[in-house]
Amino acid sequence: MTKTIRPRTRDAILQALSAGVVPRAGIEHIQVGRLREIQEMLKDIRRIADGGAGIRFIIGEYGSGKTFFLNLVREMALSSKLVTMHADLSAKRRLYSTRGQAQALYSELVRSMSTRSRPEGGALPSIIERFVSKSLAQAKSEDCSPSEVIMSRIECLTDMVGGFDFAAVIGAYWEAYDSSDSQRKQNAIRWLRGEFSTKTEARQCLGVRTIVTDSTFYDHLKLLALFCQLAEYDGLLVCLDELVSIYMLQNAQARRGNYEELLRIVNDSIQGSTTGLGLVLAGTPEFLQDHRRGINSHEALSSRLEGNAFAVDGLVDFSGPVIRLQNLTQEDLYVLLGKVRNVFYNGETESAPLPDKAIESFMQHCLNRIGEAYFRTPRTTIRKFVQLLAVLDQNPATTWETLVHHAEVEIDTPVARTEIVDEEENGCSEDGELATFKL
Amino acid sequence: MANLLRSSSESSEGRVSQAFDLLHPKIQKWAWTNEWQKLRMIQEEAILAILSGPGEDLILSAPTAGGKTEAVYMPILTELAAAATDTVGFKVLYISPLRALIDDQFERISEIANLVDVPVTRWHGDVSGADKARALRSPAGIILTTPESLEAFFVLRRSHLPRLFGSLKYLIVDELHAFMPSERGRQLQSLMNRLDLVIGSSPRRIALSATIGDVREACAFLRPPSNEKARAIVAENIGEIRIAVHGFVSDLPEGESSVTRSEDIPEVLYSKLRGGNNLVFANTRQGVESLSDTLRRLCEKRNVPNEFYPHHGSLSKDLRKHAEAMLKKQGSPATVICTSTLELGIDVGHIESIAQMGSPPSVSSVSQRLGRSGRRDNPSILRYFVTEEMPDQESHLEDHLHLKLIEVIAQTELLLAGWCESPETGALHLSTLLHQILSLICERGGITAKEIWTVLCSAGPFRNVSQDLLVALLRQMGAGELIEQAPSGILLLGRQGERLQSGRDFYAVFFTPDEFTLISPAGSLGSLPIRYPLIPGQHLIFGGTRWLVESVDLHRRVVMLHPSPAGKVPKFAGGGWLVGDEVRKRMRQVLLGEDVPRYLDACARQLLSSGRRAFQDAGLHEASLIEWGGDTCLFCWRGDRIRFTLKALLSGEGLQSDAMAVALNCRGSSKIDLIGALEAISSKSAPNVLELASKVSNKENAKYDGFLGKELLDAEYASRVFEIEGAKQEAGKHVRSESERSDVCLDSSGEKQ
Repeated sequence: MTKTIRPRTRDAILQALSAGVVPRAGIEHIQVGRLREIQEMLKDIRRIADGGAGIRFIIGEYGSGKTFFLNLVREMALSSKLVTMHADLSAKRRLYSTRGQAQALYSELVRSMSTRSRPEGGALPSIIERFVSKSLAQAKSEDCSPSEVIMSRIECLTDMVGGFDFAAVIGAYWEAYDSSDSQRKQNAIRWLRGEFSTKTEARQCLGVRTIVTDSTFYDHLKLLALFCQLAEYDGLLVCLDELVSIYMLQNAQARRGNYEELLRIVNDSIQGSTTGLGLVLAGTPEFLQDHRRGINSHEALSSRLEGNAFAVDGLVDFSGPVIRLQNLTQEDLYVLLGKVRNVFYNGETESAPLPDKAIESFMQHCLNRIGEAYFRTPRTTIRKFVQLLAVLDQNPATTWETLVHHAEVEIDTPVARTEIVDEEENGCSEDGELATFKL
Repeated sequence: MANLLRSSSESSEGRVSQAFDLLHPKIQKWAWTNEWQKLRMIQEEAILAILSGPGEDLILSAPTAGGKTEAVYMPILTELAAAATDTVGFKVLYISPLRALIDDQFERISEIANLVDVPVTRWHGDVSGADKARALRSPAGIILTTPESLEAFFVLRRSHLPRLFGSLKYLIVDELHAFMPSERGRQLQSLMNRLDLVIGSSPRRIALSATIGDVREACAFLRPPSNEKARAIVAENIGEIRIAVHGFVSDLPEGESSVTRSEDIPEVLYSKLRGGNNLVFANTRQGVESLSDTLRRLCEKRNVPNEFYPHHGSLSKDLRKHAEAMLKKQGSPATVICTSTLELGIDVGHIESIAQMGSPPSVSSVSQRLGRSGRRDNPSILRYFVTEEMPDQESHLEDHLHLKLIEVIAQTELLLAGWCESPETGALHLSTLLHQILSLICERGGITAKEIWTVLCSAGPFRNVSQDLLVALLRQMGAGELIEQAPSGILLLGRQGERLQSGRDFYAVFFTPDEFTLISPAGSLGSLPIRYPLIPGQHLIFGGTRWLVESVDLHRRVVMLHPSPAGKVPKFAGGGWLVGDEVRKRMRQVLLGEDVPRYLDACARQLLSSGRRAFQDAGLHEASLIEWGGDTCLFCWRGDRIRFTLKALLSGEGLQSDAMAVALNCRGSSKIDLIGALEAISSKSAPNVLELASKVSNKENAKYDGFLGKELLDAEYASRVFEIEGAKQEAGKHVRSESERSDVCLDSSGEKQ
């Protein structure tokens, strides 16, 4: 239990936690519970690596740790030699649109492309390099020209929708690589990132007649997945967060379009017609359940995502595409705080100035302050806990008993965008009912 | 003419050249080639204010064809030409109430803008998609649009807004007087405020307006709440408006030849209007139908093609579109006879003259209607056709006064004096607020209640809406499925809200409420656009008879009436709308006065003088309470908001009264009873307005009033119609003046003894 943590990882974890966000790296050090869920996801990753497909909906309340779970899955995928992509959906990034929002989502996904050696994104060039160098090695061992090897390897791409131009771009990259034309190499990467906005421009630069557009979003994801396998990765895992933003769309047609696209993806994955591509999508329960705006408003989709009717009253079935994240229990939180303390003191908990008893006392304090909801949305609790540890550390004269009761913990509510005018200025301070308005 | 701008030896030369010298050389040259003699006063002042002023808001008030457009665009184009053009986005946003006006301005502005290479973009429903796409790709220079198209930007292209308008320097509102008193004005205020929020700064606002009475109010409208720093430049009156009032007399026995008969109206219209593009405003649909039918038959009889088309709310859309298209079509003359349907918004192209049957609802609506004619160098032409009864011994006092004609004269005098109704002070505009909430949800993709409060109410134009009222409105919207709430508290469009939003007419807030059809047991009596309170169980005077209002069917817009035994009532008892305070006061002055306006024809002059005689004979020049045939009439000469509030208050005191054209007729009560009741009203504490409003049946007058629910509608109606304080003061005034008069009588009788 007392394994040491790399200082860089430790700092990253603590900084992220004290800012109230999910750390990108070292996430296994603070993972608590969710054993069954993790096993399920590991199975998924293995299936993708075997050339299969998978789709999972991670559904949980606000603050139940969806983003945390997504990041964990990403790390697991990276360590099993998968390429990952991740993005948040928003009004400007959608699965389906006619005004460039799907293209924007694609670009964002490609930008975030990560591999084990490049976990923080921007891995597309290195993936292509790897493809080229593997091809060169194969050419050497088989003693034939590299061009031939590459052309034969990318031939399988051309079978797919839009694959011909995709292959042509890879071919163009190889030619540029061969002739050290860095401008053309850049153009090929720009095309793959979906950064060309007109077909004319693409034809002038690369001689292809299509570009990544709103309507080809998913086709290009499939092509990328196949290409990752060609570059001898095990597959591609796409993580999409904030699916609730589909639910938030104000136009019924736009929502329907997005659900249709989602249905296409779900069908492909469930029927196994894609290879090496997995999707993990996270959203709140209303996204899944709402009969007017949520997935349930789309009959075909909701029938595919229906839960197992027998998995009630504590019985579980993780074989369906929907995983419901249970909220943390008090015990989970206790373990979690212990792990945070462990990270903070680098595993040397025996000599720590904050004993187990202090954790109990801190939790009791939180319970008194904001009631029993605190452990369901651990964000603020953990944040305050990290701050407490920091003060104790830097002021050795103080004791935890005096500090614990000063902690001001507020209930965690979803952040509404506050891009509007300064509040004081407009006399908004007294609007009690509006702040907590319920229809 | 040589270049007088430079060589003028007038004493004001220094000032003239100072303003002119500030302009771009190419614009100066343009003025020379167009042989401008000198800059008009308003142009000089506007150039100086825009180019060397401190950047305050401006209001330019001048009559049509007063040179306002050039006054604004010459200096602004000078500035745009000098500024670096590398920043993306429109620099000037021009908002106008009419597409026809935009097309007209587009040509005028382009002429100057092309000289200094500033692009000008038109943006409204008739502009092609390709033009719009081009403007979106490289937004620059000046964009001309309507409030509705701007609203559509917020709903459909919200993500483009910062790029399109981020570097905006000027926001120009044309025809400010047309916006001010209406729902559309409130929408415009809200849009200007929301635009400021989106782009994070507030461009200078400049408003162009016809002459307006209260300039400070216009400044405050332009940037609520008060806009102290704004400057107003008011021009001398040089625009040309031609007005004529034709009087007619109905039911005239044969042989009387000194006056014109009402049967001649179609003939006069035919001879004056045929061969040009004109609009005829008749106040009711029936009027529209019968008039257009008569005119069509006249055309047929004379074997000429029909040029007269009807246009009103219950005609089919195809017929209405056809009438609008005929007006727009170049080279084929057309005259459209309409209700107020063509007063606002709808595009009809160039109009030569306006004819108005009877009196129009308000001065601002005349000025709207007038604004439809006479663009560029042509004068605006307005002809009134007023029909009066020839009263006999049996007729009611009001019929002797010829009040329709008096109202027309009062309105015309106010119009010529540059007066116009102010924005309805105190009105809540909940219908427009509801619309803005839906639009804001679309713009932000969901919004919290608190943000709505901040954007629209506390810092926006809906300042007189309290938090409680907003919460009630949101709940009502929730109950009507206009909005719904995500578990996170964010408000989203509901089922009905989505339906409304996806409709084509979502962006416009103005609309013309339907007329009511009045039905008695004997059959249909006619129809009226009734805006005054209809309360079942009370009485209503229509067509010279007193009726009991049995029920009001809002859905079918039908009022069921039952004849009610009565003494004498006037033939005409108002057109159904609420007449403003200032108009009524002016009507009394017209009746008191002696001068005869030039614009009256012979018959109208005759009617005016007989009305004045009756006024004196009845003693109305000194008294306001007149006993007439067993009843007592209260002539308060105040606006209908006060009059109907007074009527409601009197009924609270147990005194039933009928609203006639200007007076309140208290049935069967003596002067003493009435004075007693008025005294009680003036001294008692104010009753609950909502209670007064709850009895009224016809409260839905704005586009989304139907979604407000009962309580909110009462609040909205009360804020719009009832004026308790004004009515109480009015009651007190009459009590005092009566007691003074009786004192005088006592004194004089005392002297005799």
